[in-house]
Amino acid sequence: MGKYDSSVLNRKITRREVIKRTGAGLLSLGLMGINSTGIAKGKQYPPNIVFILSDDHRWDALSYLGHPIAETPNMDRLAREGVLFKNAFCTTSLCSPSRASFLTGQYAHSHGVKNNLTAWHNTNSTFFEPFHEAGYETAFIGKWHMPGGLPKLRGLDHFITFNADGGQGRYFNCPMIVDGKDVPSRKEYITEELTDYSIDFIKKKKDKPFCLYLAHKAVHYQSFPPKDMQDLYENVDLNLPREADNWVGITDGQFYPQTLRKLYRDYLACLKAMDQQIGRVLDELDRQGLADNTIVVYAADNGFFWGEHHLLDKRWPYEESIRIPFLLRYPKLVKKTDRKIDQMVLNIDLAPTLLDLAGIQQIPSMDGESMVPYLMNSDKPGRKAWLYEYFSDYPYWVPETKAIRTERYKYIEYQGRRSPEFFDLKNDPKEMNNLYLSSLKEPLLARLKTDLDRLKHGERL
Amino acid sequence: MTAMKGSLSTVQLFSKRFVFPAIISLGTFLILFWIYYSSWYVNNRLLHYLFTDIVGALFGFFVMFNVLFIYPIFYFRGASSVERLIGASFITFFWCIKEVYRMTEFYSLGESAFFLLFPLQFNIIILSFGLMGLSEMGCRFMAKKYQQSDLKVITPLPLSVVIIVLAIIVFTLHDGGVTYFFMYNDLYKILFM
Repeated sequence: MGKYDSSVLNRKITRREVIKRTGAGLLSLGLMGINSTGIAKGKQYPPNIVFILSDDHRWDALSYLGHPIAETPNMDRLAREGVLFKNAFCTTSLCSPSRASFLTGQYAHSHGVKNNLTAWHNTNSTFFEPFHEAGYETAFIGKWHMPGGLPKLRGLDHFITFNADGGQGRYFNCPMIVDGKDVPSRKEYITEELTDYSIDFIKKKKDKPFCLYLAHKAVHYQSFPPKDMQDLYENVDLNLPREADNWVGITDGQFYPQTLRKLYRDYLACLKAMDQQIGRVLDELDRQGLADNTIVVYAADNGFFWGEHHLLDKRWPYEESIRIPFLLRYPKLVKKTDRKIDQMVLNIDLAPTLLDLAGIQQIPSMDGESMVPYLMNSDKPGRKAWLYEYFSDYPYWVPETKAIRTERYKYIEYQGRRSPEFFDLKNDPKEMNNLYLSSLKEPLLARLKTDLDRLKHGERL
Repeated sequence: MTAMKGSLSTVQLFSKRFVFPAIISLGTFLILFWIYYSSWYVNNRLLHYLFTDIVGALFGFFVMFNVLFIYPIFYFRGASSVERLIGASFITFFWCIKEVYRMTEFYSLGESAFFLLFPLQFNIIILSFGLMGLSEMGCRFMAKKYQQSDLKVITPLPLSVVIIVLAIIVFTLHDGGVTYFFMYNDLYKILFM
């Protein structure tokens, strides 16, 4: 169990209070001859936020978790100096809906970005708003990629993004949009480019705390690694699952016109390159003396199949697709580090958690819950069940899905002529044995169906 | 009697020049299809990879380039132009039917049919026509060389088909297929959303 300074957690800060505290801090630091970046060192000042979101990084592709190939020393460092939520999930396993969920704390059916075709509504509230209201300087740097073009986000001071290739951006020489202005790329490789912008933002002298949202394009398909890493895993045994098929990306509507092995090697190299850039951000926080009072969260928008269930890509409600990596470091608060937290947490929990940690009033429309109680008490009971939803995303051959995921079971309902599925995750973690027609499980199944209906109607379990 | 003989002869010729190549074509497709999808269930790891890797590659290659092998069989067995066109379209046609049927599991018939314009499917269809044009000229070249035929090898129709198909494929793939993919998506939104 961790030790926490509960006074940090219990306070709720108003904009006036931040200005007052910051002003007083600046005055005293100024009198002491210390520059303004030193304010984050002070225990009484609001924490800075650095949220790093990657794309399609599967939960177990971390050397911290013993992955046989992935090399992620900087993410491992975050886990060692913080915590890893080992049962973290996305509520919709698809880029645009999941990104919108991180920002709004809402399910896709609430924020409206149901797939890669339905537009973002500017009426949605994001966590930038309350942070900005509380006196933070806010920045969105990186991949937006939601239908409807670039948004008008309230509470955002800096918006650095790209819209090339339908918003997916390019790994090399990606044109950028900096606060509405088109600018050419400064760095050849996109991950380095976005990191540079983030470091510039962190380094900028501020009289306020900051909230940085850094969304990488990596490691999304095409997963191009930087040029010096292209052959990094050329001769490595990939240890693919038994049912993996090298051509599965091309067959049955999975739309990846390369072999699975080639894609996986590139993905792992691209991941290593991203990890190095995350290391640069962490180093910069250290250099600026900000690390202690900065909450750093790393997560991915969704998981990924590497041949499991004869699948590549994400979307389906199986574990490989819905689990995400989720790391949190906040040295000032989380004293007991290098631990794995068991409770089930979701992408929609990020926004309430950040607001809670910063002591800012929650947005009532959020569907998620703060993870802070689990940080404070590893034994605190977590949520019992949650709703997974997927809305069809033409032309991908994945049915509309609703599922309930409990600590032990998963029950899935599909649109169309596909039969439901029911898995006992304890005895069948790879979800190979569908128990839907098993009469032995009928009472349990009936209860799960009822609970799924309750979740669909917005109830919490 | 003479008429009957003539009719029988026509039927035999048709079976020789059209039905037989069609059976070879569809048979190869079905065998590769069956082995590839069955190989998913082979438990032995080595055999599984061997089957999926090799047969998967052969299957994909056959779906895309079958015309190069099938068209000459129709040609040298005496199939007419229309018969060659129909016969060499069989695999592409069945592949399209399979894909459209697959899509109908979750999408309307219109959306499922629209899937034929998806880059991969569209290029398979377009490529088959280009390969027909190429094969026609190749067959004429062979006929001229080995059967002393006085046919012109290069004529406007097959040549223009090859050039047009090449241009379309270059357009759809020129930037990794990104432009075409988003055009396809935009058209989908206009038609179905």
